[in-house]
Parts: sequence; C-alpha cells; structure tokens
Amino acid sequence: MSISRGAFFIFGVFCATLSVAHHSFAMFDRTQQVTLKGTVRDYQWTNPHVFVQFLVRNDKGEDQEWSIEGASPNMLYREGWTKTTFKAGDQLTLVVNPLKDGSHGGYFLFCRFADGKTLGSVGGQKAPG
Amino acid sequence: MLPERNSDAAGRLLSKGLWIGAALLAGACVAYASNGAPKAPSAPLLTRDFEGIWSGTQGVIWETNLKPGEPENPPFTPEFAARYQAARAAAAAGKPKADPPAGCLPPGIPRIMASPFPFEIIQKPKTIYIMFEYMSQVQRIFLDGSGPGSLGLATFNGYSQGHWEKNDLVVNTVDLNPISVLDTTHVETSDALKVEERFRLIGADKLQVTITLDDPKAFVHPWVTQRTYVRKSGEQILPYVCEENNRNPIKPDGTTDFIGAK
Repeated sequence: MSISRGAFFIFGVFCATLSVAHHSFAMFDRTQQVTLKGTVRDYQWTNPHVFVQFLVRNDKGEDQEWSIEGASPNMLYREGWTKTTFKAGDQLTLVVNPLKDGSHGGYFLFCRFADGKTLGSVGGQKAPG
Repeated sequence: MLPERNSDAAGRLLSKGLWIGAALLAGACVAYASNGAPKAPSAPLLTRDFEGIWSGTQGVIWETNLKPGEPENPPFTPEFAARYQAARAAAAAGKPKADPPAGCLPPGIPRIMASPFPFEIIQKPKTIYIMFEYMSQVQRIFLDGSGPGSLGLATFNGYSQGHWEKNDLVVNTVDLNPISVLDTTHVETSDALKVEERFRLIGADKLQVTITLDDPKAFVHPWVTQRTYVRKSGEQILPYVCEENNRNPIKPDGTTDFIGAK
C-alpha cells in the first residue's frame, strides 16, 4: 500500500501549534494523518504557500496526483528549506493532514527522503526518529 | 549583530547628544526629587532605539482568551456582537465569512502586528518606518506633525502619526479600511476605528506594544491588547508576494478554496 492512515497519529500533538497566517486551515482534517509513498512531479517554491505535486501509485498501478500544501517559503526558509529541497523524480514518504472532502490533497507535516533523511515543517513538527 | 547595532546606536547618540544630555539631566532631577538621594538609572541609556528586526512571540489570533459570550471580551456593541456570533456560527457550519488575507488583501493595521512574520523598524528623525514581511507592507509613522495630515482615505494601513511620551513611541492611526478584520475568527471593526499603538522597550531586545482599539461603533469602550516581540540579530526580511501562486482563494460562499493539481 502506498497510502496509509493514522500511522503517525502520535505526532498529531505537534500540529496544534501550527501558525496559520494566510488562510483558515478548516479544509484540512487535523485529526487525521495520511502517509503517502510516491514521486515528486513538481515542487512549487512560491508564496503564499509551498506545494509539492506528488504522484502516488494505486493498487491498479495507476499514478494519482496529490497536491500537498506547506507553509510559506519565508517560514520554511527559516527551518532550512530552500528552492532545491525537492526536485522532480524524488522518491519520498510524506505524512500529511488530508483534505476533509476526500480529494487528493493535504497539508505537509513531514517527510522522509529515499536516503532516510527526514524533514519537518514549522511549529515544532518533527519527523519520527 | 549586537555590537554593530550598538555602534549604530552610538552614532545616533552622538547626533542627538543635546537631547540625550537633557533627558539624563531631567531624569537625574526626577530621581533626586522623588527619593531625595541619587540612584542609578533603572532604564538602559538608549531606550528609544527601536531599530532592528522584530518577531512576535504570540500567535495570530488577536486575543486567544476571547470569550464571545462575555460582553467585556471584546467589549462589543450589540450590533457587532451579533455580527461576531453570526460569523462564528457560519464558520461552525462550514461556511465561514471571507477572510480578506486569504484573497491576498493586506491584513492591515492593527492585524499585521499579529503576523507570524517579522518586521523591521527603521528610525529617521521625522519618520519611523515599519517594514512588514507579511505581504511586503509598510507603515509610515510621521513624527510630531511632520506629515501631510490625514489624507481622508480608507486604506489597509491607514495614516499614522507618532510622538514620544518619555521613551514610549505612541502611534495613532486613522483612515483605516473597514473591510479588514482582526483575525481568522472574524472580529470586525468599523470605519470609526482609531488605533493607538504604544511601543515600549521592556528589555534590551524585548518590545512590548500595547494596542488600543477605539471604535465607538464596534466597542462600547476601547479594547486593549498587549503583544510582545523579540529583536532578532542576524534575521532578514524576506519578500512576500501573495499573488504569486495563491491556491487558496476565497470562494463565492466565503469558504477557502483548495486548487488541486496544477
């Protein structure tokens, strides 16, 4: 399975401190965490929010595209992110708060790269060790 | 770097030597008069040095202990209490009223003081500039009547005049755009809003801003909030152009959209 729910539920506590500046995050289900394994199609290092366009292969072997929203480049830059943090073709494991409406999107919490390195977001979110 | 800032501050001190000297003399006189004996100054010498980059220590909600059912917090007039309750009910029903910054409109004065992004204060003799990272906004504060006076416009950052009260910088802002709201909980104000911001250094690198919202249409008496900021050495203000790639615009029903794959 390339998609699993609740695998990192214990880390949900960190999400409560997330700074919300630009818009309400009511669209995301902050009580759920979804783990996605797939490939980066596009990385949008843009204001007001960073996006990772992410291809996740389903059980039928079809690629489904997820839109993963992050904080602003300004905030993430201060956490060590840059415009080259991701590139097309990167194999990642992403953990996100999913969209409430069930469509393929979510809010970035943290990720693990193919080499095992991890990356968090803002608000004290850290990847599991 | 702190040493550099002190160096800069020393330069300003030299250029304002007469003023500082007079202030010290006055302070010494007060110390003698009140206690009958000299005492060491309790405040640092350069207490008017607000220059630098500052970062907020609180969240983006205007008043986190806000209790909508209690009339004193905030001290809403009946009309604005009803508007706030309606906004909360709409949000609870999944149809929140449109929040202007979600559509990339500036947060405005005073909400921008609750931004999670830093701001830079630049002091000139007649004008103080606050350069906000959030949406690259600027607040110009004209000191001691040096500005053109109210322009009669209704703008997001309004028109600000400042003066010194001892070492407090007191900023009064008018001409504000009434479409601004104070936070994502949708606290509204009216076209009668006048904002006073009292900037006070409470530590070498700690700033306290007491914000008073005087709006007789929205509040039955002025509503006072206090926020604190820390001076960040080595920080920089980054660009922020909200319209670059806003994939969360406001939908006609007031909810925030999420634009999928693009």
